[in-house]
Amino acid sequence: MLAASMQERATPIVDLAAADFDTVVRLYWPRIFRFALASLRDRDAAQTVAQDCFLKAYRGRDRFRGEASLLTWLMQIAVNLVRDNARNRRLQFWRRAPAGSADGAPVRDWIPDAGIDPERRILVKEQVDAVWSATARLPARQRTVFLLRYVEEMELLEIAAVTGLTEGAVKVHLYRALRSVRAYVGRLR
Amino acid sequence: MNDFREALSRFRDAVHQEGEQTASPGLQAMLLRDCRLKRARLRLAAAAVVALTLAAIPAYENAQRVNAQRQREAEQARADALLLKQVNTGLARSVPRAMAPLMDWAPGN
Repeated sequence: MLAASMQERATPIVDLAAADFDTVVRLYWPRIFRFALASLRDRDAAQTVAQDCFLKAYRGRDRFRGEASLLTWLMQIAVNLVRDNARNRRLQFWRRAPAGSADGAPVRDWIPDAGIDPERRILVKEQVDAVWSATARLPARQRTVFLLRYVEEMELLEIAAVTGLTEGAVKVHLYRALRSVRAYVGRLR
Repeated sequence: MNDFREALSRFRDAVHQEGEQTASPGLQAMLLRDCRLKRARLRLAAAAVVALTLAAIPAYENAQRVNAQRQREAEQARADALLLKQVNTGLARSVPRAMAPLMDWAPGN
């Protein structure tokens, strides 16, 4: 019941107690976590970002005015945290993973559905790996827009609200990201 | 074109699948973790303050010792200078102070 109302736009959460907010966490955790995972390519970092996102939202829930959907608001926080995390990792050069290790990140280990024939499975795996590698090479903003559109399936206006860009800027970033990914995937074939 | 769309769709499925492998720890666990992190940071800061203080004590003591030594040296130098002045004054007399009255009896005076 609460979960259903949460999914609607403009749900006020100011009066939510910790127990109710737990429902928000359970409901939106997969989306926030996978966005962080696809952005940072590090399961631990993604988990930290997702947890920080919900803690920030919980502590700042009185600032949520319901002008946007709860998901938009949470995603906004997640995008900022992902950006901060990436910036910190750039500064912490001693913690930086060896070159090329981003390509060995979580989704690379993904194995397609066992129901399809082996030849097709290899093809599908290659496709996923190619897109994964291509997104790793995108500039941060283009990657964010790309992931919000093609992984989270958000509308352009929602992406604009999340990233703080204009709809036109979102279109430009998305066009450039798509062109880069397509070129990279095409080159690998 | 269709291949690319399919690749994007497979990529989305893969990310969704990967995302579902890590369950939400729940708000209470998050709050607890945050509390522990804050406490650890506080402990680290306190340890840093203690370490800095401990490192600063010998340096402070050394500075105090050097200051006292300098002060002693300056006082000694002042006393030496005063003594030297007195000696010089004494040497500048033609006769010792005790014999000065006798000088009036000396011939030629």
